[in-house]
Amino acid sequence: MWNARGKREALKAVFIPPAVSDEEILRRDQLVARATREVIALGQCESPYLVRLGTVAAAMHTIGSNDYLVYSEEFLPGEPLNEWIGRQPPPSYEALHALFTILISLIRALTQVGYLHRDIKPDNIIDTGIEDRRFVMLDLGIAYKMHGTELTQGGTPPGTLRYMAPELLRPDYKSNMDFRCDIYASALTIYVLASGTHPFAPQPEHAYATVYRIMNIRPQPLASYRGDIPAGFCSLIDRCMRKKPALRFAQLDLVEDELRKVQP
Amino acid sequence: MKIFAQHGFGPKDKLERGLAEGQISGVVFSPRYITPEKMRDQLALLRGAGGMLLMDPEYFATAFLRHSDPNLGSLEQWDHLVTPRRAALISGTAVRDIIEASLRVQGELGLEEWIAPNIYVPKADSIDTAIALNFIGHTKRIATDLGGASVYATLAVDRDAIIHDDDFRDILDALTGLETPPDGYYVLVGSGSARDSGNYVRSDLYQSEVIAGWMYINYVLSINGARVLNGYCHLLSPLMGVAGATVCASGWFSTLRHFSINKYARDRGGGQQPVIRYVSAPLLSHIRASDFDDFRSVVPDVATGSPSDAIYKDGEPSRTEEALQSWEALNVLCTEVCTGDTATDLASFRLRIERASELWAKLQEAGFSQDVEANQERLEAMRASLDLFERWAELA
Repeated sequence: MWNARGKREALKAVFIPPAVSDEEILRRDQLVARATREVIALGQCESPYLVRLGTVAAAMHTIGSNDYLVYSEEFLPGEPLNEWIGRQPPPSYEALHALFTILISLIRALTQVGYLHRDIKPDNIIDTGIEDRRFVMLDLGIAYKMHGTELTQGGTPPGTLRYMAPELLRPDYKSNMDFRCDIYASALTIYVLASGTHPFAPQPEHAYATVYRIMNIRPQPLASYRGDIPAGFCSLIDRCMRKKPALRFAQLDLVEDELRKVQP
Repeated sequence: MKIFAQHGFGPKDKLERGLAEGQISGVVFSPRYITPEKMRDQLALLRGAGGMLLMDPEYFATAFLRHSDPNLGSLEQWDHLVTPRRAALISGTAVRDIIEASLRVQGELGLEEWIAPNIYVPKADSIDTAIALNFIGHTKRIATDLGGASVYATLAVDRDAIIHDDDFRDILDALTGLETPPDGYYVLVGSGSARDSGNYVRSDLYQSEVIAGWMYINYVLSINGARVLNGYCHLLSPLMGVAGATVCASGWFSTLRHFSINKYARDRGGGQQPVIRYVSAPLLSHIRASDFDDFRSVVPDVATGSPSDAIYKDGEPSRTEEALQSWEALNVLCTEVCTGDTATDLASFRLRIERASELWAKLQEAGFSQDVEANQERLEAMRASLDLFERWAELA
C-alpha cells in the first residue's frame, strides 16, 4: 500500500529474474524497457473495468539482491471473486450477466489498444460494490507476460494454467493467439463462479492432468448446474468455452448481441 | 436455405424457367461458359425473372493457363484473369490488383453482390493456404473501396486439404480471426476426378471426413456471422444446410454438381452423353430416370412428391426438366431438414438417412441393382459424416 498525496495506491513489484551473461542482461533490459512501455500503454486503455495506474511510473528497482519492475495502481477495496466459488447461495444470474458483459467490454477495450489480457480469472477480479464499476480487473496481466513469455524464451505460455485456453497450450501458441483466448477465460470464470466447480481442475492435481482435461474434456453444460439461469446464457457461456477458437466468437459484437438477447 | 443454379455449358432456358418457376433463387455464373457480351445479354434477360445473380470469377483456373492443354473456354476473354508471377502471389504484392480487377468487372456488369477471386488450396499445410488467406483478408476492404457491394470471399479447397482435419481446422481458426471479414464465403470443395461428361461422377467427395469437413466450414463461418454459399453442392446441400449454409448451388451436368479443378485441363478420356436422372429426396440419391418408374412401381415412397414428378410419368424428360426437378427436390429436402436449429436438424437428417436405407433395402429385396452413383455407400458416408461433424463442432 502506498499513500500518494492522501490517496491510497497499491504498489506493484514484478520480480525480474536475474540475468548472468552480457547477452542475457542486454536482452533483459530490452524486455524491461518494452514492459515499461506496455504498462504505460495499458494505462491508456479506457475501460473503467481495468484498474487504473497510480502515480508511481513503471521503473526498475533493486530491492535486496533482486530486481523488480515497480509501479503503482489505484487502490480499490472489494471482494476478490475467487471468494464466490462454492458459496451458497451461488451468484445470481444478474451478477453473472453483469460480470460477463463487463469482461467482454474490457476485452474490447484491450483489443482497441492492441492487447490481450491473458490472465482473466476470478482471483484477478474484485467486486467493488461501486454502482458504475461493480467489477474491476485488478491485474494488467503484464507480470505474466514478463515471466511467462519473454524471460523464459517462449517455451511456457503466460497466465494461469487452469484458465488457459487450449490454443495457448500448443507449442506454436504465439501464432494462434487472439482475443478469443480472453473470451474463453472470461466464460470459464463465469462457469466456475456459477457452478462452484472448475471443469478442468476440480481439485489440486498434477498439471499434466489439468492440461489433458483442458485439451480434451468438454465441460458439462452450464445449464446442468444452474437450472435457474436462462438456457440462452448457459449456451453462450458453453460456446465461449469451446476448444477451437473458430467455434467461439470471432467478433465481440456477436457476443454482445447474444448478451442483449438474454438481458435479465 | 436457398438453392441456386450453378451455371455451365448449355443453359438454354433452364435458368429463366428455374427463376420464374421458383425452383432456384439465384444463379452463380461461370465465365468459362459465357463471354462478357453474352453475359450482359443474359443478365438483362434474367433480371426480370428475379433472384440473385452472381459470378464466380474462377480465378483459381489461372493455374491452368500455363498447362500444356488447358480447357478454359471463354475465361480467357475476361479481363479479370490477371496472372502474376507466383512470387508476387506469395509476397502478396499482386493480390490487391487481382481482387480489384475481378470485383471491378462484376461491378461493371451491375451485379448486386460480388464473389472475390482466390486460388485453389490443394493441401492445408501448403503455401497456397497462406496465399488464399491473404486474398480473403483483403477482400472486404477492396470491395468497400470499390463502392461497398456485399462480397463473398472464395474459399476453394481440395478434399485432400480437408482430410487432414487438424491442419484444416487450424486454418479455420485463422480465417475466423481475420480483422476485416467478408460478408460471406463462396465455398468450393473439389476432388480430382469428376469427369466432364459421362454417365456418372467419379467423385471422391462422398467420404465422411470430406463431408464432415465441408459441414464444419459451413458451421464455423455461419456461427461467426458470415453467409455461406456453397458451389457445386448438389445432394450434399441439405447437409450443408444443417450445418448453417445460406445457399447451395447445383447444375445440370456432373461437372456442375461436383467441383473438380481438373476440369480446367482438357480431358483426354472419352465420354458419353450423361443419362437423365431424377433426384429422389426419400432415397437421398440421384437415380437414373429409367430406374425411377421401375422403383416406384414396387416402392412408391421413392418419389420426392413434388410437382415435377409428373413429368417423369411420360418417359424421359428434357434436360431442362431434369434440372428443374433436381433443384425442386433439393428445395424439398432442404425445406424439410433445415430449420436453423443444428441439433434438431442433425437428428432430422439422421432419420432421413435411416428411412433412405430402409427404402434401398426394399429395392434390393425386389431385385433392383444399385447404380454406381446412386447407392447405399453414399448413405454410409453421410451417416458417418454427421458423427464426425458433431464431434468436430463440439456438439456431441
